[in-house]
Amino acid sequence: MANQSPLTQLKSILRSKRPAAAKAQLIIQLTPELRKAEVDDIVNAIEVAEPLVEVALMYAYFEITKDDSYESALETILKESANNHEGEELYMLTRLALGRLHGQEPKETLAETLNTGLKITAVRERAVRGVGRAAAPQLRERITIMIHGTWASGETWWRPGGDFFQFVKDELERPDLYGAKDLFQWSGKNWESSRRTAANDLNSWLRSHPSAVVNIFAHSHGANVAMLATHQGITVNRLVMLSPPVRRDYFAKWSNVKNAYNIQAKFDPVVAIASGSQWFNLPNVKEKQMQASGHSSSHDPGVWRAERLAKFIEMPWT
Amino acid sequence: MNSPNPDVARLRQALHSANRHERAQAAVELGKQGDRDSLDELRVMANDPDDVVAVSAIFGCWQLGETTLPVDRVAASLASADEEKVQLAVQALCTMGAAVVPKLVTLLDAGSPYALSIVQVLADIGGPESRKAVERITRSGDPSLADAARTVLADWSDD
Repeated sequence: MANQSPLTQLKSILRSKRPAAAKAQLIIQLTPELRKAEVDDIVNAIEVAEPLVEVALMYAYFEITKDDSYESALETILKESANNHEGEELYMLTRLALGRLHGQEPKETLAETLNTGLKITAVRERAVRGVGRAAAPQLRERITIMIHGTWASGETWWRPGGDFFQFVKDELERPDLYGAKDLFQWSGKNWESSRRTAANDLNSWLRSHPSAVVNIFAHSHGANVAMLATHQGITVNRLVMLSPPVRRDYFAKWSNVKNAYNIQAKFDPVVAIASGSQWFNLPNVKEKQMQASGHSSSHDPGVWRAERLAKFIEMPWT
Repeated sequence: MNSPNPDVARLRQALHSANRHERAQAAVELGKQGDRDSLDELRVMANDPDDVVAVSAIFGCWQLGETTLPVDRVAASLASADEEKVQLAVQALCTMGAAVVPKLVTLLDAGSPYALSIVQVLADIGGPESRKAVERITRSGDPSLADAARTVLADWSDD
């Protein structure tokens, strides 16, 4: 096969009886060798390909042409696969391909990540069949992170050992809550530029801690940092926003947020001052007004228990 | 005299709520809505023993043009161990903006025990007056304060 032209190799891959995941992996590997002259064949193949292969071909098309015409098609696939528990690999591949379209990471890194993701699939498939042993994947399957708000980098609640951190990790059973020394944090300064810098940093942090599924708990302006970050390619499975000052200029790229929740105190003078509203009033954001008041109540474990907020955010999560 | 709109009437009533956060939020919103008829009540609330209520009332007064009230109570909240009080004070001072800078500078000159937090909030407020004040603090006799001022200047950004 090595002596064949890239186009012949592509056709051979598409004709083969390999599983779709393997075909997708091979197409991604072949992409750097495909040329603009082969774009028509790729476009034709997209029309008849099965979903995983279709996404890989759309990725190849973008890499060759730098034309993002398939962005909306990928977003549709992402939404559909997000609602289908059996489409996890498709969701992951599409999310990463879209990330590339949004300039998330260099091609080589994306290809490696996609390969790793597919290897996880292959390992999982072998495990289901009772063949082989699962290797430690480089790509995490899930990660949950916590983001503090303005002037709160020194607070303890969001750090390992802190009350809300431990509550989420232990009582809400999120063992994937990231608590290593290099956990994500930002300056917490009350500047627009600081929040935008923090959003850039969050993207970089997530690139260095790759995960197929990203969940975020974020308090106050930390939620705005998370929303800004979605414009730079990150895709969030569940974004739990705790007392955010809601401002349109911080709205997320909603196609990159699978589930969004907004939890607000009954009365919150901090949000009232912070040039924001308490409510998104958007169909895609689930909103909850607590009985509790005060800006910090939304990260108080006692309030979470009393108001059954875990149920509101549809826990347990898979 | 015209009767107030229903929203303002509700907020004025909320100034007497048993819920401290409802009182505080009402004070903020009445200030933002420009309801000068509530100024007398807000002045009284500015001395409330509860910092959340007092800071919110000072902010409300400020929004109504009452800028003679001392802001030392707000500055003191910057150094609180209570995250909510800190965030309330930061948001209040940053929204008051450049107009509050001379008052903060006066507090610095008087050797405020919250000088470190004031230096940090001056950076968040930004602007030439804040910068000038922080530059002056780099020559402070208190080495930790001077150091903090230098750190803040190194990272200075006016949005």
